[in-house]
Amino acid sequence: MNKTIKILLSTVLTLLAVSLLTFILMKLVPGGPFDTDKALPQEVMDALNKKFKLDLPWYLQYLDYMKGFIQGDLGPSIKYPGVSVKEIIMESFPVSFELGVYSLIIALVVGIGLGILAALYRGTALDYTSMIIAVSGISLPSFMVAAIAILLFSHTLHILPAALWDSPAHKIMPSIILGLRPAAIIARFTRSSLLEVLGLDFIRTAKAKGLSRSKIVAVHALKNSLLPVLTIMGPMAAGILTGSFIVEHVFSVPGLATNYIQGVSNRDYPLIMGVTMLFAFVLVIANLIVDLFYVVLDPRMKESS
Amino acid sequence: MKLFRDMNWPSKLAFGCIVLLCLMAILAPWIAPYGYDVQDVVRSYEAPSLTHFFGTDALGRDLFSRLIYGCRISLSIAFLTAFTSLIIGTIYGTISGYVGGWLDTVMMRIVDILYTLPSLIVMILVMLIFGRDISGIFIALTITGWLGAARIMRAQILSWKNRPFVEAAHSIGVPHLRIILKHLLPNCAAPIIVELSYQIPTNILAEAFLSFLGIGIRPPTPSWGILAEEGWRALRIYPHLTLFPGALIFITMLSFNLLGDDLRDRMDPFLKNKI
Repeated sequence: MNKTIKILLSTVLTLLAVSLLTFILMKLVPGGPFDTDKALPQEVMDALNKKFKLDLPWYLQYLDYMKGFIQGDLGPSIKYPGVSVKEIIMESFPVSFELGVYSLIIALVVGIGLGILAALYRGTALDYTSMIIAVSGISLPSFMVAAIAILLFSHTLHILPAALWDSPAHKIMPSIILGLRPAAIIARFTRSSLLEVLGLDFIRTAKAKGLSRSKIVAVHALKNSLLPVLTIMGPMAAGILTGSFIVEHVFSVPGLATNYIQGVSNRDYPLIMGVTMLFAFVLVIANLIVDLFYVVLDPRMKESS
Repeated sequence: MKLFRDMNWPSKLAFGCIVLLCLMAILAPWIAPYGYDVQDVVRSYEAPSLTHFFGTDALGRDLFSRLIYGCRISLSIAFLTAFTSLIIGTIYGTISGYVGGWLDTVMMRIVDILYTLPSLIVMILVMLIFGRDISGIFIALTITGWLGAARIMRAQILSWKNRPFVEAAHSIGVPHLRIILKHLLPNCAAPIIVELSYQIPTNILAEAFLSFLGIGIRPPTPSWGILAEEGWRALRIYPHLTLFPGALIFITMLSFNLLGDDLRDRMDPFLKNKI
């Protein structure tokens, strides 16, 4: 119980710090939401600033924003009159979430699969091929993969659409490309972790007992070797988030990252805050889930933490 | 020299590539057949040929020359920010680990919070605050880049500071600064060098990402990211404008990653489990 409160408290404090930092950074960015090519009359500017409370000192604006935030009000979008930030987020979050989940699944399946193959056939051509694929996956910028994929599948073969997010066909390329880098990282991690476990004493015991190779790997080695893989899932969520900026941009996916970039270029302060807070929240939750899983999978963690 | 002799062949190749890229960056004005901003509108969007090895862009500028100059920008940003953020991280982590106690708790808590901020979001905002030029991107990448080094350094210092030889130094009255510089830092160097070799490709990618999103340094300064972004607009008709910069970024990242893997495997067997 005590521990739950502690975790909850640290989560709230972290999010609070993130909100304050983002607010300060955002306010430091020169320019404002009403900067247009043709300067507005001073009276209009004053009225607009007053309407969105931009005439107050920044800390009062922050307090005002947080007051609304606690009550679940993310404020109005400055750029799109009549639309609230909550509505924008409600519309784009499911898109980004779906994209993220697909790519995470791809990353886990492909990554763990390649990693196991490489570890089991250590030192063979299969191992080298898997690891060359993995290191290439880490080194390839996603727009490069996207360029090749679009040229091949949309432009030449005409089998997949090059942009937007409607039918399942639209979702194939973005999901795979977003999952590529995480998959490569997981593959390398799984390989080294599995190799380490396969060298341990209890595996030798299992071999001595006469268990088959597949049983040793499936029952004994895999569970232990996937534990360290779990620890990188938190940072991985962050990586997928970063990658989603490029992938959403390249494929014109109407997700959070697209809205964030638009928010930044329009100086749409409530939109920037809303999306950033959501990103930070997702990252914190991802790390919490990883911690939780860790304790479940490795009971030794309970005592030490 | 021994370090080079012991390399496996992929990392020797990678090392060669990196040396070549560095030479390209340093000697850019002498290697590039054209200037990076020399326009020749009559020859816009030319396919790769003998006069223009990688073709020309929308304004008839020679892509090969622009890539060579881009090497200069991209590599110097990557190296400079990697070194700076490592120095900051090392100092921060050393203080945190060495002093310990509540200071350590507070300092690491700050790092934890900054880790929660998605780095790309911070980079975008910082870039806009300090301006979309080299100094802007330098600050943006450094602000987000030092956290990893700080964590590694703290862990290293913690694992070394209570060893008998450090205690012995304390007992004969060696000042703290000397203990840190002479006894602790040399022992903690390996993981930091490994971190450096990974930080450089991370920075190259980050610069390319920012430019690609239209928030990086401004043209006409040709960084690889800018070149890829400019090419992207004409992807369907003139794919070479995206593929050449992309391939060059790939080769560079691959070289640094291969070299980093090899360094890690040999310098620090305990770190083998890191990504």
